[in-house]
Amino acid sequence: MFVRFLPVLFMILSSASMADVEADREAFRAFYAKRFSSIPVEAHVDGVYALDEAKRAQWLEMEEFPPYEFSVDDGEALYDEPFTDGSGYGDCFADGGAVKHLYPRFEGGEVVTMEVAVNQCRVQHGMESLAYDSEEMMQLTSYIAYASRDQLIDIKVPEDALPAYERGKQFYYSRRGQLNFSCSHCHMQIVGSQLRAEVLSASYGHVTHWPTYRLKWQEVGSLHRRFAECNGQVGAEALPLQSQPYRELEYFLTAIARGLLLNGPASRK
Amino acid sequence: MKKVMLTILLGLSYTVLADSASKIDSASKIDSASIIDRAEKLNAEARARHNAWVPTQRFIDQANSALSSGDEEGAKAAADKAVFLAEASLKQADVEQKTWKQRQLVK
Amino acid sequence: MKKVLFLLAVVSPIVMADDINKGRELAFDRSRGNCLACHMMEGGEMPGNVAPPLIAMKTRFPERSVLREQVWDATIRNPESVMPPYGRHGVLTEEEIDQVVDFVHSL
Repeated sequence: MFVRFLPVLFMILSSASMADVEADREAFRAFYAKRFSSIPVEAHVDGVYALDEAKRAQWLEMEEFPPYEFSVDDGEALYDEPFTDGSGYGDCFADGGAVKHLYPRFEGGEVVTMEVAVNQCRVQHGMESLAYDSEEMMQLTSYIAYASRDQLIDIKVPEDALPAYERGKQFYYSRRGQLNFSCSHCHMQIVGSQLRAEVLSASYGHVTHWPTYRLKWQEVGSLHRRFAECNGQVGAEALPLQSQPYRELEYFLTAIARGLLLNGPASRK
Repeated sequence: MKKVMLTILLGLSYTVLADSASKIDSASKIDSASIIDRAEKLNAEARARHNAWVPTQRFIDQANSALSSGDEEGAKAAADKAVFLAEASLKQADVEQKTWKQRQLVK
Repeated sequence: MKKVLFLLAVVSPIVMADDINKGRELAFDRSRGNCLACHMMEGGEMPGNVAPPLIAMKTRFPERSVLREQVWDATIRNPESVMPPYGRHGVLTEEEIDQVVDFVHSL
């Protein structure tokens, strides 16, 4: 008797889980809309510059001569360069690389981020993988981000991806490091406050603009590099770029940001 | 035959005595080395759980370099600190398995 | 005995002042206490505004031990506190915590 209803039970459970992702997204939007009632919730794609007028003015000045511009140009040249077998990135990615809004995807049992997809494409066509922190990888992803500007994040979390989504969520909410902070402590509980002179930004919008030129780095770097930096700042050992936990964290943050405008690459202090 | 047995017995007891003497000699050395070993194992466990702390490795490195330069006391102090931190990081990983859920917006 | 008491009376304020100074250094140091990251306090430049300013501390914490517990592990009183547990996680030594508490209690 029970066995007969198992498929039905499974459907109920799974549809509930799918709804959970949407419920999380709505809850995040509502949370920041309430916390910062004077600005539209979509404005958080600009991070701290959505929250601080003076910092925003300085930033707009920096954006007049975007420091990531060379990275985009070099990336475009690399993107158009054919692989040794005559194929190229265009054989893997549609619309001239304007595909960032579809990443990360869940494929083959794992979260495939933009960087991972670039390497998969290369390996498929007989090329070597690029190091995730290499200049070439940053250039290629800078170009892809630029080509994808103004698209709306459009990732779906399929049934079999829910465990990965949940693990990403768990990472987000778990205290780590000697200083005992979770992502949510800084970017939800005390979001908008100042740590010394630094304003804490909203998580809603954290994923829309990578790679990013950071003045502190003096170069373009990836979202995972920023994760690693954040971890280090709370006294937690950083994980490797594109490690499973970081990919799943990115997956969670992107899923809750569905519908937000892509605005990468960006510059940040 | 008796003579041979006696020689063996003497030889054995000498070895045992010599061994225990050297043990006493390097008792503190073995002590700090084993604490470093314990810290390394605990930190590896924390790392496997993606929950290692930055200063733990720093104290392990400090203990190792103190040990190699013969600073027994310094090695032990740093190793003790590393064990303390590694244990605290594992405790954090355990506790957070549950507590993270309370922070969710949608529970 | 009288001599000893006299000595104590002369020496202890000096010791206290010394501890307060050490505590201030720790509180301002970004890589140690870094209290300024979150708390405004007298003499500190570019403070954060995450947590209450550290003023009138003797009124707010008549019992030094309560303040010390707060520094040692603020999650005892509030499990969701964002204040790092300086003692429980070994960020500062017990002696350093006493110095920071002496300083903060003097504000």
